[in-house]
Amino acid sequence: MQNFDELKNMWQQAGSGNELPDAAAVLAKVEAVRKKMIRKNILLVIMLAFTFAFITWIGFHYDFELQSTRIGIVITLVAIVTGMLFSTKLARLLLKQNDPTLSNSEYLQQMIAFRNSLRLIQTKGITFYFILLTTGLILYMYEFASRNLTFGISVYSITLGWIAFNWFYLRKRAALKQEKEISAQIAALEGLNNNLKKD
Amino acid sequence: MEFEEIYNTYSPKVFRLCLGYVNDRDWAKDLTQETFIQVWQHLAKFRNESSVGTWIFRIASNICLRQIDRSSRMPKAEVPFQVEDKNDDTKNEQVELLYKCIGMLEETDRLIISLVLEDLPQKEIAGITGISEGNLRVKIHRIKQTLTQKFNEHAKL
Repeated sequence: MQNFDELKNMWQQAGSGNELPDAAAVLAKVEAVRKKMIRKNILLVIMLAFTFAFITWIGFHYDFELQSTRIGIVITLVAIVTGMLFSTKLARLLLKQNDPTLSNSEYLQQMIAFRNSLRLIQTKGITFYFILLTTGLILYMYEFASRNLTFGISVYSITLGWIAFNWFYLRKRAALKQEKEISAQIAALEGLNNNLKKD
Repeated sequence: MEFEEIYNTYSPKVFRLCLGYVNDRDWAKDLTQETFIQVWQHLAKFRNESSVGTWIFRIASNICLRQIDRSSRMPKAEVPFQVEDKNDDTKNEQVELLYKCIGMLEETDRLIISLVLEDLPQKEIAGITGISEGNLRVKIHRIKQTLTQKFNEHAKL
């Protein structure tokens, strides 16, 4: 029969064996993480710079008859870039990062708030992306479609059909999956928080 | 205090806390390393408001709680083996049993009891967890009883 103080002794005497790396190895890891972050940021900046250069080039290089074509190109590219950025987890970077030096209770609240914002970005963000992309494409194609009615109607129906398929089928499926994941995480975090608070 | 000194003093303690929480040695090792990466990154923010130990435990326990991303809930440990009380060689097995019994508690209770086992004053544990001292006192009393009871039940088997 053991009492709690004996358990405490047992706990404090239990070493970590030789399992833990030494301080130098941890510092090397810190450095590796830092370098990786810098590389990622540089890549992102280069990618954005190229996209903007491309948009500007298209806008000035070709001589379109209608302004709508030019505006369409810009809107479509903006939609693609925002879509790309959000899917590369930029959303996570934009939102306030969790601060691990807070107390457990504050930290859990922050993680819940973070997931709620993420949920909002995922639902509203994707709607915004589709609206932008559709508007951009409609404007862009107008100049060419207006030259020939049959060509115009067929190109518009194919494009809008494809967008509708994405919106009603693919988006719904992805949104359901993400929603399920985030809801489960929020529920689990709230469970932890409730356990922490109860007597 | 130099990072190396902090690391050498606190890494075994952090490892025990993480092991109590996840009940998996490799995973606990990763969490310990993650904790000290965060310690290094936030060291400039540390303003001696609490002891460095309390501050590190706060980071470590938050890193543990964050594991919700990896699996929706930490599985509660099972106790598949029996422990003989008499034999000297059973010391390690007894420690293993202690970890397993901690693993049977609720996640947040695992963190609280690990901090109690590290002999941290209740005031500091309240600061780490963010719950009132009154509430904490009741909780600690209950968890201590549950843990001792579980340990003795399984050790007797």
